[in-house]
Amino acid sequence: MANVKKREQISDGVYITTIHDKKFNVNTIGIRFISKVDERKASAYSLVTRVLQTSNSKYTTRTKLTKELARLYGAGISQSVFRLGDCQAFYLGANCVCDKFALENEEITNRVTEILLDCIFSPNLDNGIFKESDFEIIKRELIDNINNKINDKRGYAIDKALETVFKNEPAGVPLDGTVETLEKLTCKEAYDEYREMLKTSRIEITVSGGGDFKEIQKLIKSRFDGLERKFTPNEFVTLSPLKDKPAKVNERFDVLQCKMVMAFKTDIKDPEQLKLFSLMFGGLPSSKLFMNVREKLSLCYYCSANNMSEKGIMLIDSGVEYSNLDKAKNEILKQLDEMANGSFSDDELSNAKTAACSSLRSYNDTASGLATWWLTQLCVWNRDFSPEDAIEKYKGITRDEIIQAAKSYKLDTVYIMSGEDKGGAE
Amino acid sequence: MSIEKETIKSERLGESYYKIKHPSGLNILVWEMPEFSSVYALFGTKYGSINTKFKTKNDKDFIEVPEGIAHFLEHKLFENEDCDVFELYAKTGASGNAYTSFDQTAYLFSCTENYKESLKILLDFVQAPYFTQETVDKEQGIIGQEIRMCEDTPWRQVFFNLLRCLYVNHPVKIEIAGTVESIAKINADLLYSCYNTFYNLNNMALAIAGNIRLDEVLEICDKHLKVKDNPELEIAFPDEPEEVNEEMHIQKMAVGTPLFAIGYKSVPFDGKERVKKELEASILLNLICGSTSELYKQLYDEGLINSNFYTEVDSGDGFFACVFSGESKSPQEVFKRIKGEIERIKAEGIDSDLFEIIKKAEYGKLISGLNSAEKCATLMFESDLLIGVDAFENIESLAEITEKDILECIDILFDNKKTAISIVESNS
Repeated sequence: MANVKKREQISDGVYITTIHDKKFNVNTIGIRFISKVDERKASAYSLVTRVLQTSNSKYTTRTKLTKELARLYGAGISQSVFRLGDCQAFYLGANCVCDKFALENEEITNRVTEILLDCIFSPNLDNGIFKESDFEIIKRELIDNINNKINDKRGYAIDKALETVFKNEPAGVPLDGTVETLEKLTCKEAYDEYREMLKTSRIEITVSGGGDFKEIQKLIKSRFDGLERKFTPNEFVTLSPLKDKPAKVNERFDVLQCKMVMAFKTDIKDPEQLKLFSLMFGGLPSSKLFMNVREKLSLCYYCSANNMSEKGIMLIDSGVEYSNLDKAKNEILKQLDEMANGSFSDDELSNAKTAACSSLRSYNDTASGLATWWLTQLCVWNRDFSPEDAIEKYKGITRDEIIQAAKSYKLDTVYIMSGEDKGGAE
Repeated sequence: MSIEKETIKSERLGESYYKIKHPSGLNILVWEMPEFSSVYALFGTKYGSINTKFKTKNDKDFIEVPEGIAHFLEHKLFENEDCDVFELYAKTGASGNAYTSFDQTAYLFSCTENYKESLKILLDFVQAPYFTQETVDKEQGIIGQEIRMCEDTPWRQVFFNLLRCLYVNHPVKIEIAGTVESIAKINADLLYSCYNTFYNLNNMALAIAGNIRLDEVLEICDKHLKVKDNPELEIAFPDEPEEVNEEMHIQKMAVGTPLFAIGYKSVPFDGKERVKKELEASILLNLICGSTSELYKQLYDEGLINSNFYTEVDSGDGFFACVFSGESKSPQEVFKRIKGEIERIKAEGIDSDLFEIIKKAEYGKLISGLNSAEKCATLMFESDLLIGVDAFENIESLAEITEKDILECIDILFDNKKTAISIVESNS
């Protein structure tokens, strides 16, 4: 492959990974602050990264910043939060087209990187803390966003299921925290949390795309040089304990279609073995769930399996008619039993390997995909493991290992969202 | 067979692809990207949810078919007489899928190996329909659940309610998947009738991009494309008045903050003019209330909108609409302010500096849109099949747009008498 990956530790718990391939016409600079959080910290860090995203000391308003980025050929600065095992990663990143496309030979990527670094290290302050009025607007918006999660029923159902799946674990802290903790958070407290985030988080920086990144690396390093750090490493892979008996959660909403999320837990820690199993079970159009629950029994439009192997979780999420809930649930359990009894063909196994390997090869075609791949491998799994290494590993997975994975999954939680007058199903 | 081959080039981007007029009647678009690992292919027809009334040279009168049939047909084509298409793709490792929109149905795959085998599968199954009443009945359950899912999705509801406000007769106002009632009327005969009408190579295109070779693609096409008689398709659309159907629609659902979609209806455009007008409309949407505009700042600072605020242009055969959508506690106030800003721009003109900035941002967006085999294949496919232009038309057209063009089209694209608002608010 033409892409080149380089990794370097630039400070205590601060790493920079660059992935360069000249075939890409965009560049992405991503900075992730990774930390184990409680509800208050999740709220604070999410809010802080949103404040940082919208202005800095040079471009003091959202409009000024957006205008400058638009002038740089529609560059953008984005913010997001995601789970990495028991930790949450708070992401701030910039993307832009490569400098060769500039119509007047302007610098693009260096400028965009400087703006991003200014957002992080030189925010727009007033009396030594964030500007109160900006802070309040962004806080209100984040509270609205949390309240609006119900607008996406499928995503909401998964979030609610995970809260029960990870009850009393750090992974159970909602992304973005809660409305209650946000309401109480003051501007001064948020600013203090911002200093804390810079000091104590693990910081993973990726620079990926088609550009020449020498200058950019220098720029980034110089800004992290003087940063005071006090960092304690986190364990990322911690299996979630299985409940004594499966938890059932029923919620009522005014919906026409029920959402059912079933969570299973395993004690296996091998991500490739678990991933291959979930592909065969419900991750492909040729999988057991697609072929049976959807195609044969016409119970669902979607019924798919996804796993979070760093927590030992597999989620089956589906949209089902109320009267078919039990039927769908029983069929999903029956299919899992059949996998555990080995009733799948060698073709099904080799087809899943082919699909897994094909999607791994395609990582080399997206700069941001590669950045995510390396973050997961180097940070979460603590291994220098390329997509090509994963391909080799998939090829060696045996039939017995798939059966072993199927047998290891035990039902932990069933979450059901159903219509107003119908109540929940048992 | 003799083959007409043309190289389509963009000097500006240093990119090129091949366009082949195949003797079977099919337009084949091939973009070789040897430095990439993936391949992405689309094979489809200019047939979507809006094509509910049509005739061929064999029909005396126009035929009217149930709403949602193009989408139903897309689902059913995945079943061959002896197997499911996904089982075939499973062997080659390709990931297959399909989609139906207002004006197209496309079947696609992506892969990193065995693209030739996957291409054969794609060409073969799309050209070999197999429908029985039994399999049609079975699909009604699956699509019924897809429709229910859409009905529970507030963003989708707010958008289709807006189209029903803007359009009196044009079928763009109907749901792409139809309704549970309309799909109950679909049977195997009707599916064959639609298939035979629209799935003719003269009405279709194949686009493939990535790690491929032109000669290999053409060799497979020569063997696997079935030449059929051109049915000389005619499509009828009902007359659509210039005025909107209704000015406001409010639906109650389980949502947090109310959602809104504000639309401006204009006359439709074709060919190169459509490409230019889509770009001009996009620039105007940004000048009026894009994230760099003064109005956006005011609405945001006053808490009337949040960062979930979007602008888009929806256009196709017989329709063209500019849309602002978002979340707001006072959608009506947002509507009033947008109307006011449009009048202000019409009276005072546009901010030249902002125009140049937005144009640069649009240019950057088009370049980012050529960053993968998927994006390149989709751009070639839709430009050729739906608009009849080359894939680089947008980037060329954008370079030529002037401030004067923008001022000239604002009256046509943003007429405060041809606008409507759709709102979805909480039922609790």
